[in-house]
Amino acid sequence: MKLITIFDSGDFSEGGGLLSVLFEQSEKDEFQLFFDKMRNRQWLFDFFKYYNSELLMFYPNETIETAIDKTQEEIDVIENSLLHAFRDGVVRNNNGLDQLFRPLHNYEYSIRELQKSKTKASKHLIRNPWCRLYAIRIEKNLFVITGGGIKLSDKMNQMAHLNLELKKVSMTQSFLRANSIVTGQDLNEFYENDQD
Amino acid sequence: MKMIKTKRKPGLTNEGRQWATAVDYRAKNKKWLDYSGKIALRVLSAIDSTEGMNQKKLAELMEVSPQQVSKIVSGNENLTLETIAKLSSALGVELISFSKIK
Repeated sequence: MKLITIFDSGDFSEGGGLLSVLFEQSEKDEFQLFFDKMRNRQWLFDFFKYYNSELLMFYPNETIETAIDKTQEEIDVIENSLLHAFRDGVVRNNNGLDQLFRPLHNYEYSIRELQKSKTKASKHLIRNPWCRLYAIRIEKNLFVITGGGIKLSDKMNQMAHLNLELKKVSMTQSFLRANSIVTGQDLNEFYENDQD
Repeated sequence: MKMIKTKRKPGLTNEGRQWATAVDYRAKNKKWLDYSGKIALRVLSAIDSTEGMNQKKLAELMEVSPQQVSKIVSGNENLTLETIAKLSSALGVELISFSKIK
């Protein structure tokens, strides 16, 4: 597993940043893979066809076509929010990324070490958003993307592809712990040494 | 704790710039990309509902490579009218329609 930096403030302990995981045997990092999938009509067509009963159970008025259109609108919002957060938060040291990401588990109300996190399109802009981008929070405005997907169930473990995402979040958390990365300063030191 | 003064430059990395460029490109070209997505979906739906049809067969009928068909159904290709007409003929479905001039 490797860490790929997307946004870098120059000092992870001061200004944060956004990184992504690159799993072995994968050509692209998870951040890039997520957006590639969400912009690929064939991938989305196959996904909503495979999970059509789940789609209709939770969203009875949606068709594959409207579901794909809704996904495009959500991804527009997520992309623009991230760009805005980077410009507003990571560089200016406000709460950019911290305002976007929430703990993965809805019952967690406090910040924990290497917290499993998620972000989705704002409910003010998208009704019932279903796209999720998963991450580990290291420090204020400092997150590592672990993957993402479309959630058409109450709980993640009710869908096979989200079970895989749960595993990826845990694997990334373990990787960071194994490399003694629990703060931005730890990540600075990790980068000073060769990642390999 | 040992404090490290980093030498990294603040901003988007190469990976980040690629993504941000794609976001900007998508915003600037939204209209035709939406059309491309709609056509891709109609092609996928037609393939799915036609017995014996698949992307390889469609590529043969259109006399293009399977990779070209794969790009078309991703919904991110700037299709020419000629390509749309070829797709339409090969699948036997109309992919675009025109309203009558009043």
